[in-house]
Parts: sequence; C-alpha cells; structure tokens
Amino acid sequence: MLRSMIHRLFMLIVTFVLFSLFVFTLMRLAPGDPASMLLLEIGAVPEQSIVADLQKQWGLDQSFIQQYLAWAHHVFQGELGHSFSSGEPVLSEMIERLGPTSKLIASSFVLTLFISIPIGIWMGLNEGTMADRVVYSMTILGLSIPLYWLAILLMYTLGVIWPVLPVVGSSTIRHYILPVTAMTLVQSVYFIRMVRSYTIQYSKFSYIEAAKTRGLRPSIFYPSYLLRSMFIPILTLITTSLPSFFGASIITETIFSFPGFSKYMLEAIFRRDFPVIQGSALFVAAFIFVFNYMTDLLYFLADPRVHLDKQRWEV
Amino acid sequence: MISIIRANKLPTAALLYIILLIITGLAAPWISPYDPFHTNHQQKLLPPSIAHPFGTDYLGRDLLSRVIHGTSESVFPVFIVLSVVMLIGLLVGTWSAFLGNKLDMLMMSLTDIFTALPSMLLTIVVVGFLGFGMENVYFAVILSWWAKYVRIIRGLIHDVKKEPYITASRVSGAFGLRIITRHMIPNIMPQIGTMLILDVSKVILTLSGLSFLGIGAQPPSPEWGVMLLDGKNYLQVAPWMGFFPGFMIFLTAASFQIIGERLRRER
Repeated sequence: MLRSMIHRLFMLIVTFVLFSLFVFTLMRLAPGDPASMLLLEIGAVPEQSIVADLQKQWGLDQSFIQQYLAWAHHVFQGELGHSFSSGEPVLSEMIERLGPTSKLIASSFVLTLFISIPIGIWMGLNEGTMADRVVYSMTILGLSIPLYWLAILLMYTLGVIWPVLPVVGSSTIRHYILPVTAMTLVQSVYFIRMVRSYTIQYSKFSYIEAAKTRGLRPSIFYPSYLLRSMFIPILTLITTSLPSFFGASIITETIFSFPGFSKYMLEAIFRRDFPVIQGSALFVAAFIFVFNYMTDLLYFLADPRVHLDKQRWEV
Repeated sequence: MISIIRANKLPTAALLYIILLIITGLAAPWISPYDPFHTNHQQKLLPPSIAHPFGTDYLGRDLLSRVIHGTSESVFPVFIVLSVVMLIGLLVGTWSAFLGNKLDMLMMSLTDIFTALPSMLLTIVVVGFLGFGMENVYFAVILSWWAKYVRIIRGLIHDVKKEPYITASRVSGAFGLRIITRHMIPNIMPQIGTMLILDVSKVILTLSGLSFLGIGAQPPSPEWGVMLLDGKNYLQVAPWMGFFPGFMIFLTAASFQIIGERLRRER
C-alpha cells in the first residue's frame, strides 16, 4: 500500500512536470519576441544591440532547458508573476475568484449525483420496460443539447418572459439557481446513462441476486449491497467527469456573467495576459492531478483487491 | 429495404437530415434566399415571417440565409478534426500495441495526462499563447481528442491480436504491415466507425461552443455558435436570433447521436 502510494505520488509529480513543460513550450512558441515587443510598446526602435542586451538580461539567450529550469524554479515556489493588465499578483487574483466557481461546480456536482443515481438505478432495474425506453431515448436527445443553448433558453424563460430569477452576477443564492440548473441538467443526462448501465451490469452479479432473493429490506439492499458494489465505477465516473464540469463552468460563467475563476481564465486569452493563462492553467491541472491521486487512494479503501501498482487502464 | 426503414424510422430520418444538411452546406450560395452579409437597417430585428422565416438580426441580415451559409462552417470542420484524430489514433495506437512493455507504458502514461485534462483547458492554453485563428482551435481540439482514440485503438488491436484468424493469416505467410492493414484494421473498423459517429455530435457541440465563447469563428461569420452569441445579446428584443442557430446545433448533434446509438445497438 505505502509503496504503491509513493509510486503514484512520483507519477503525479512527473505528470505535472510534463504538463508544465508543455505550457512552457507553448509560451515560447507564442508569436513575437518579448524584447522587441516591449521596445515597440514604449515607442523605441527595436535596435539589434538593445534587443540582444535585453535578451541577455532576461536569459532568453540561454538554452531552452536552462530557460525552462529557471522558469520552473519560480513557478514551483508559487511565484506565478503579475497580471499584464491589472498588475496584481496572479495567485491572489485567482484565489479571490475561486469562491463562486467552487460553489457553482460543487453544488451542480452534488445535485447531479442526487438526481442521476436514483433515476439511473431505477432505469437499470427496470431495463427494457416502456418507461425505461422512453427515458433512455430522452437521454439520447439530452446528450445533444448544447449547454450554451440550454442556458440561454433558461435565461429567456425564467429571466425575460417570466422574470423570477436574476440572470447576471453571483451575489445571492438566487443568482446560483439558473447556472446550477443548466449545468446539472446537462451533466445529469450523461450520469444517468452511466449509472443505468452500471446497475444492469452489477445486478447480474451473484451476490446481488442472492441478496434480492433473500428478500432484504430495500433500506438495506440499496445502500449496502447495490450502491456499495457500484462505488468504484461511480467513483471513476466522478473522477473522469471533473474535467467536463470545469469546461461547463467556463460556458456557464460566461453566459451568466458570473465573476468566477473560469471566466477570469477565459478573459485572459482575449487580453493575451500570459501570466494569468499560465498561472490558472497550472492551477487547474494541479488540482485535477491531485484530485485523481486522492480518488486512487479511495479505490483502495473501497476495494482492497485493487492493486495500486497496476495502471488504471489495466484494472 | 423498406422493412429496414420501417424498423428504423428515427435513424432513417436522422440520416436524411444529415444528407440534406451536407447538400445545404455545399449548395448554400444557390439556395439561400438572401445574401447572408447584406445589412439593411430598415429591416432589423424583424420577427419570423413569410419573407424571413427565421427573422432578421440586429443588422437586418436574413437569419435563414445566415443559418444556411453557416452550415459548411459549423459542420464540415468536424469531419476534418475527427479524420486527423482517427489517423493519429490508428498510427500511434497500432504502433503502441506492438511496442515493448516499457515504451507502451510510456505512451499510455502520456495519453493518461491528456485524457485527464479538460479539453477546455488545453484549448485555452493553446489559443491563449498561439493566438486566435481556426488552425489553432483545430489544433487544440485535436490535442484533447487524440489520446482517447490512441487508447481505444490500442486496446482493440490488442484484443484482435489473439484472434485465430490473425494466427491463421500469419501461418499462411502474411506478415507485418500486411496483417495490420488487411486483417486487423478492417476488423476493428465497425467499432471505430460507431465511436466516430457518436463523437461527431460531441465535436460539433465543442466547436460551436468555442465560437460561442468568442474563441473559434469570428463575426461576421455565420457560424452557428457566433450567431448564438449575437442572439444572446439581443435576448430581450429578438429571442429568435438565438433560438434558430442553437436549434440547428442541437438537431445536427442529435442526428449523429441517434445514428450512432442505433449502430452501437447493432454490435
């Protein structure tokens, strides 16, 4: 256990270093030479000698690897630089905006689970019945609804025609209702389908059949047998869908003018605010890698048969 | 033939819709009633009518013509992106399946990274540093999709490798590339085809979504995501401006989804 945890931790660090190398490479590939760009910005003629001096001063004449190491040295100490447009430290700007986004993602995550687990289990247990088939066909269409269109339709019906909910900002709880609803609806469709297929798969196992035949009370059967055995696939579902929640939050925050982290990150690319793009990308990646690491540990706690030495695609 | 259609009414309708859509995309200049870029301030923000079935936008442009012209820009890039993704998947996936343990594991760790990261994050990083422009957007989308295909194709090839007909062809003297191109790849094509069709709808949603966010196609392009963004800004006065482009995205994605589901049930 301890050995595989350390192995996983090592892999986590390697992964993050690879990703930071990727970000750094893209940054170096960005069009325009920083030295001449700065000179043009202050109105000076980018003369060869001055450009060369600046490049030497910034270390741009060193090899790619040396530049990466110097950059990584700063980044791994948490020095993400200052935003080009506001001049504020990127790290503190990011932390300020994390609140609304984490609330948005967490609440739609929890709601999605609460909606889709019961519906998915119910559909799976009634596989092939008319009701299951109708709901299943609806999920096929549901998968094709663009989140941005759904959000706009919700905004129009509940914000314009029948103005009961605010559609801009994040100041009160009521501001969260429409964004969370839009995200939850879109994500639930996928979750329902997955939980349904897990239920069909797991209810064929002999110990589930046996528990059912023994006539266990539903209050024992569902939580301690069916859900308990489906814990690992559902955990995988949660881990693998975290990225899509992040993507959805960018769209949702943009539509509802939500002053959150995802919108901040998106806006940085319109301003070509490199430190912000770099800082927030590294932050999101680190968060996801650490989240994956923690769920890997949960796998082990949930099912001691899981060999953490094995890679995930082999399990 | 008729009995097949009768048993698959919805998939047939979806297929017809897609064929019609592709024709519309190719024949847009000849079939659209108006010029999609022609502005007319006397006719701005008109609700749907017989003269303008989808209404007009804030510059008086006919929305039906814009939707028709936007078809090629909204739908055809998806095929390009997915073709590239599939090609990478076939090359790298097959190669990885035949590699030794160590290199194969390295390859899989690499795909692990790319599948774990949100595609939106990769897109933001690529477009953010390399600048706007459709090539960069396609590059970003390919970057976030290739890993899935490499992994799945590698897995399929691995399974196929053990099949008796592969041994048989090996025994009959075929070897190397010939086995791969003549026996393995044709045998995994049905699975890959189904996956591709299902992914068409996902990539349509992604690409139009990026245009909607302002990253992909840029105004005055009649790409559906761009039109939807315009529609969002005029939601209170002209809701039809956002409704129709969004509905087209939905209908197109749903058609591919319906066909893909049907094919998946077949296997």
